[in-house]
Amino acid sequence: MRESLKVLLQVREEGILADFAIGGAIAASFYTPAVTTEDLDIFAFPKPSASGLLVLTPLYERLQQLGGRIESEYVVIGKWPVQILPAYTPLVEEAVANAVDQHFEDLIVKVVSADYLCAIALQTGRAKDYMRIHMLIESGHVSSDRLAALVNAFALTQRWETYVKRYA
Amino acid sequence: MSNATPKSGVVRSITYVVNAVDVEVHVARVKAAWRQHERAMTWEQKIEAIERMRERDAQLARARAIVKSA
Repeated sequence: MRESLKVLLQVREEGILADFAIGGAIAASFYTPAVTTEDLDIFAFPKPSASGLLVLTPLYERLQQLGGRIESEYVVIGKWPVQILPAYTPLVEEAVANAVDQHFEDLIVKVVSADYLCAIALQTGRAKDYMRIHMLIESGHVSSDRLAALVNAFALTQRWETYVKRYA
Repeated sequence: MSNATPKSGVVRSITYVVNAVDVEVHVARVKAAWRQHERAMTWEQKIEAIERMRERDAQLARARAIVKSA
Protein backbone atom coordinates (compact mmCIF):
# COMPACT_ATOMS: atom_id res chain seq x y z
CA MET A 1 0.00 0.00 0.00
CA ARG A 2 2.81 2.38 0.90
CA GLU A 3 4.34 1.97 -2.57
CA SER A 4 1.01 2.75 -4.30
CA LEU A 5 0.41 5.82 -2.14
CA LYS A 6 3.97 7.05 -2.61
CA VAL A 7 3.60 6.93 -6.42
CA LEU A 8 0.25 8.75 -6.26
CA LEU A 9 1.73 11.43 -4.00
CA GLN A 10 4.61 11.80 -6.45
CA VAL A 11 2.30 12.44 -9.43
CA ARG A 12 0.40 14.96 -7.33
CA GLU A 13 3.69 16.62 -6.43
CA GLU A 14 4.54 16.74 -10.14
CA GLY A 15 1.20 18.43 -10.83
CA ILE A 16 -0.16 15.70 -13.12
CA LEU A 17 -2.81 15.02 -10.52
CA ALA A 18 -4.23 18.24 -9.09
CA ASP A 19 -5.55 16.50 -5.99
CA PHE A 20 -6.83 13.15 -4.82
CA ALA A 21 -8.36 11.43 -1.83
CA ILE A 22 -8.71 7.79 -0.88
CA GLY A 23 -12.28 6.53 -1.01
CA GLY A 24 -14.05 3.15 -1.01
CA ALA A 25 -13.26 0.25 1.28
CA ILE A 26 -9.72 1.39 2.07
CA ALA A 27 -10.98 4.76 3.28
CA ALA A 28 -13.77 3.03 5.20
CA SER A 29 -11.21 0.78 6.89
CA PHE A 30 -9.78 3.88 8.53
CA TYR A 31 -13.03 4.11 10.52
CA THR A 32 -14.39 0.54 10.58
CA PRO A 33 -13.05 -3.00 10.95
CA ALA A 34 -11.06 -4.22 7.95
CA VAL A 35 -13.13 -5.65 5.11
CA THR A 36 -11.54 -7.29 2.10
CA THR A 37 -11.53 -5.35 -1.15
CA GLU A 38 -10.28 -5.85 -4.68
CA ASP A 39 -8.82 -2.40 -5.21
CA LEU A 40 -7.76 0.97 -3.92
CA ASP A 41 -10.27 3.62 -4.99
CA ILE A 42 -8.91 7.07 -5.61
CA PHE A 43 -11.18 10.05 -6.22
CA ALA A 44 -9.07 12.40 -8.26
CA PHE A 45 -8.95 15.81 -9.84
CA PRO A 46 -6.69 15.30 -12.87
CA LYS A 47 -4.87 18.34 -14.14
CA PRO A 48 -7.07 20.01 -16.78
CA SER A 49 -5.67 20.00 -20.35
CA ALA A 50 -5.05 23.22 -22.31
CA SER A 51 -8.59 22.92 -23.70
CA GLY A 52 -9.95 22.71 -20.17
CA LEU A 53 -10.99 19.06 -20.56
CA LEU A 54 -10.04 16.56 -17.87
CA VAL A 55 -7.88 13.97 -19.60
CA LEU A 56 -6.47 10.93 -17.84
CA THR A 57 -3.93 9.93 -20.52
CA PRO A 58 -0.95 11.94 -19.13
CA LEU A 59 -1.63 10.55 -15.67
CA TYR A 60 -1.78 6.93 -16.93
CA GLU A 61 1.39 7.43 -18.98
CA ARG A 62 3.29 8.82 -15.99
CA LEU A 63 2.06 6.05 -13.72
CA GLN A 64 3.35 3.50 -16.25
CA GLN A 65 6.73 5.27 -16.32
CA LEU A 66 6.78 4.91 -12.54
CA GLY A 67 6.25 1.14 -12.76
CA GLY A 68 2.46 0.91 -12.88
CA ARG A 69 0.80 -1.42 -15.35
CA ILE A 70 -2.65 -1.04 -16.85
CA GLU A 71 -5.03 -3.95 -16.25
CA SER A 72 -8.56 -3.27 -17.52
CA GLU A 73 -9.91 -0.36 -15.42
CA TYR A 74 -7.00 -0.45 -12.96
CA VAL A 75 -3.44 0.72 -12.76
CA VAL A 76 -1.57 -1.86 -10.72
CA ILE A 77 0.96 -0.06 -8.54
CA GLY A 78 2.96 -2.31 -6.26
CA LYS A 79 0.59 -4.96 -4.92
CA TRP A 80 -2.56 -2.89 -5.41
CA PRO A 81 -4.88 -2.40 -8.37
CA VAL A 82 -5.69 1.31 -8.17
CA GLN A 83 -8.94 2.57 -9.63
CA ILE A 84 -8.66 6.26 -10.41
CA LEU A 85 -12.09 7.80 -10.51
CA PRO A 86 -12.18 11.43 -11.65
CA ALA A 87 -14.35 13.30 -9.14
CA TYR A 88 -17.50 12.57 -11.09
CA THR A 89 -20.31 14.24 -9.13
CA PRO A 90 -20.64 17.42 -7.06
CA LEU A 91 -20.83 15.19 -3.97
CA VAL A 92 -17.53 13.44 -4.77
CA GLU A 93 -15.90 16.78 -5.62
CA GLU A 94 -16.94 18.09 -2.23
CA ALA A 95 -15.78 14.87 -0.54
CA VAL A 96 -12.27 15.30 -2.00
CA ALA A 97 -12.20 18.98 -1.08
CA ASN A 98 -13.18 18.12 2.52
CA ALA A 99 -11.05 14.97 2.85
CA VAL A 100 -8.92 14.71 5.95
CA ASP A 101 -5.13 14.36 6.06
CA GLN A 102 -4.15 11.04 7.66
CA HIS A 103 -0.85 9.36 8.30
CA PHE A 104 -0.01 6.10 6.59
CA GLU A 105 3.37 5.12 7.97
CA ASP A 106 5.60 8.09 7.03
CA LEU A 107 3.21 9.43 4.36
CA ILE A 108 0.33 11.87 4.68
CA VAL A 109 -2.65 11.15 2.44
CA LYS A 110 -6.13 12.58 2.16
CA VAL A 111 -8.91 10.22 3.19
CA VAL A 112 -12.60 10.88 2.53
CA SER A 113 -14.38 11.52 5.84
CA ALA A 114 -16.86 9.05 7.30
CA ASP A 115 -19.80 11.43 6.65
CA TYR A 116 -18.94 11.78 2.96
CA LEU A 117 -18.25 8.04 2.62
CA CYS A 118 -21.80 7.43 3.88
CA ALA A 119 -23.26 9.97 1.46
CA ILE A 120 -21.29 8.54 -1.50
CA ALA A 121 -22.40 5.02 -0.52
CA LEU A 122 -26.01 6.24 -0.44
CA GLN A 123 -25.57 7.77 -3.89
CA THR A 124 -24.06 4.52 -5.26
CA GLY A 125 -26.77 2.48 -3.58
CA ARG A 126 -25.61 -1.15 -4.00
CA ALA A 127 -26.20 -3.69 -1.22
CA LYS A 128 -22.52 -3.54 -0.19
CA ASP A 129 -22.75 0.25 0.00
CA TYR A 130 -25.65 0.04 2.44
CA MET A 131 -23.63 -2.41 4.54
CA ARG A 132 -20.75 0.07 4.53
CA ILE A 133 -23.07 2.84 5.76
CA HIS A 134 -24.19 0.57 8.58
CA MET A 135 -20.58 -0.17 9.61
CA LEU A 136 -19.59 3.48 9.43
CA ILE A 137 -22.51 4.56 11.60
CA GLU A 138 -21.78 1.71 14.06
CA SER A 139 -18.16 2.89 14.25
CA GLY A 140 -19.27 6.15 15.85
CA HIS A 141 -17.36 8.31 13.35
CA VAL A 142 -20.43 9.65 11.54
CA SER A 143 -21.96 12.91 12.67
CA SER A 144 -25.74 12.64 12.35
CA ASP A 145 -26.04 16.40 11.75
CA ARG A 146 -23.43 16.45 9.01
CA LEU A 147 -24.83 13.33 7.33
CA ALA A 148 -28.37 14.77 7.48
CA ALA A 149 -27.08 17.96 5.83
CA LEU A 150 -25.44 15.93 3.05
CA VAL A 151 -28.59 13.82 2.54
CA ASN A 152 -30.62 17.01 2.09
CA ALA A 153 -28.05 18.87 0.01
CA PHE A 154 -27.54 16.02 -2.47
CA ALA A 155 -31.16 14.79 -2.69
CA LEU A 156 -30.44 11.43 -1.05
CA THR A 157 -33.57 11.28 1.11
CA GLN A 158 -35.11 8.37 -0.79
CA ARG A 159 -31.87 6.37 -0.56
CA TRP A 160 -31.65 7.14 3.15
CA GLU A 161 -35.21 5.85 3.64
CA THR A 162 -34.26 2.67 1.79
CA TYR A 163 -31.27 2.24 4.09
CA VAL A 164 -33.39 2.78 7.21
CA LYS A 165 -36.06 0.35 5.97
CA ARG A 166 -33.64 -2.42 5.05
CA TYR A 167 -30.72 -2.13 7.43
CA ALA A 168 -31.20 0.21 10.37
CA MET B 1 -13.97 -49.77 32.37
CA SER B 2 -15.40 -46.28 32.52
CA ASN B 3 -16.97 -45.00 35.75
CA ALA B 4 -19.18 -42.58 33.86
CA THR B 5 -22.86 -42.98 34.62
CA PRO B 6 -24.88 -43.64 31.52
CA LYS B 7 -26.91 -40.51 30.78
CA SER B 8 -30.65 -40.65 30.24
CA GLY B 9 -32.22 -38.95 27.24
CA VAL B 10 -33.32 -36.01 29.41
CA VAL B 11 -29.80 -35.50 30.82
CA ARG B 12 -28.37 -35.73 27.31
CA SER B 13 -30.87 -33.11 26.11
CA ILE B 14 -30.11 -30.77 29.02
CA THR B 15 -26.37 -31.23 28.49
CA TYR B 16 -26.86 -30.40 24.83
CA VAL B 17 -28.78 -27.19 25.67
CA VAL B 18 -26.22 -26.17 28.31
CA ASN B 19 -23.39 -26.78 25.83
CA ALA B 20 -25.25 -24.81 23.18
CA VAL B 21 -25.59 -21.90 25.61
CA ASP B 22 -21.89 -22.24 26.44
CA VAL B 23 -21.06 -22.12 22.76
CA GLU B 24 -23.18 -18.99 22.29
CA VAL B 25 -21.50 -17.32 25.26
CA HIS B 26 -18.10 -18.40 24.00
CA VAL B 27 -18.77 -17.07 20.49
CA ALA B 28 -20.08 -13.79 21.92
CA ARG B 29 -16.93 -13.45 24.04
CA VAL B 30 -14.63 -14.21 21.11
CA LYS B 31 -16.50 -11.71 18.94
CA ALA B 32 -16.35 -9.02 21.62
CA ALA B 33 -12.63 -9.65 22.14
CA TRP B 34 -12.05 -9.48 18.38
CA ARG B 35 -14.04 -6.22 18.10
CA GLN B 36 -11.96 -4.76 20.91
CA HIS B 37 -8.78 -5.90 19.15
CA GLU B 38 -9.94 -4.39 15.85
CA ARG B 39 -10.76 -1.09 17.52
CA ALA B 40 -7.22 -0.99 18.82
CA MET B 41 -5.72 -1.72 15.38
CA THR B 42 -4.03 1.09 13.49
CA TRP B 43 -4.99 1.84 9.90
CA GLU B 44 -1.70 0.32 8.73
CA GLN B 45 -2.47 -2.90 10.63
CA LYS B 46 -5.94 -3.04 9.07
CA ILE B 47 -4.45 -2.58 5.59
CA GLU B 48 -2.00 -5.41 6.33
CA ALA B 49 -4.98 -7.57 7.35
CA ILE B 50 -6.77 -6.67 4.10
CA GLU B 51 -3.62 -7.57 2.14
CA ARG B 52 -3.56 -10.97 3.84
CA MET B 53 -7.28 -11.45 3.01
CA ARG B 54 -6.56 -10.54 -0.62
CA GLU B 55 -3.72 -13.06 -0.80
CA ARG B 56 -5.95 -15.76 0.70
CA ASP B 57 -8.75 -14.90 -1.76
CA ALA B 58 -6.27 -15.09 -4.65
CA GLN B 59 -5.05 -18.51 -3.45
CA LEU B 60 -8.64 -19.75 -3.23
CA ALA B 61 -9.37 -18.45 -6.73
CA ARG B 62 -6.27 -20.21 -8.09
CA ALA B 63 -7.25 -23.46 -6.34
CA ARG B 64 -10.80 -23.22 -7.74
CA ALA B 65 -9.42 -22.65 -11.24
CA ILE B 66 -7.23 -25.76 -10.91
CA VAL B 67 -10.18 -27.86 -9.71
CA LYS B 68 -12.34 -26.54 -12.57
CA SER B 69 -9.73 -27.29 -15.20
CA ALA B 70 -9.07 -30.82 -13.86
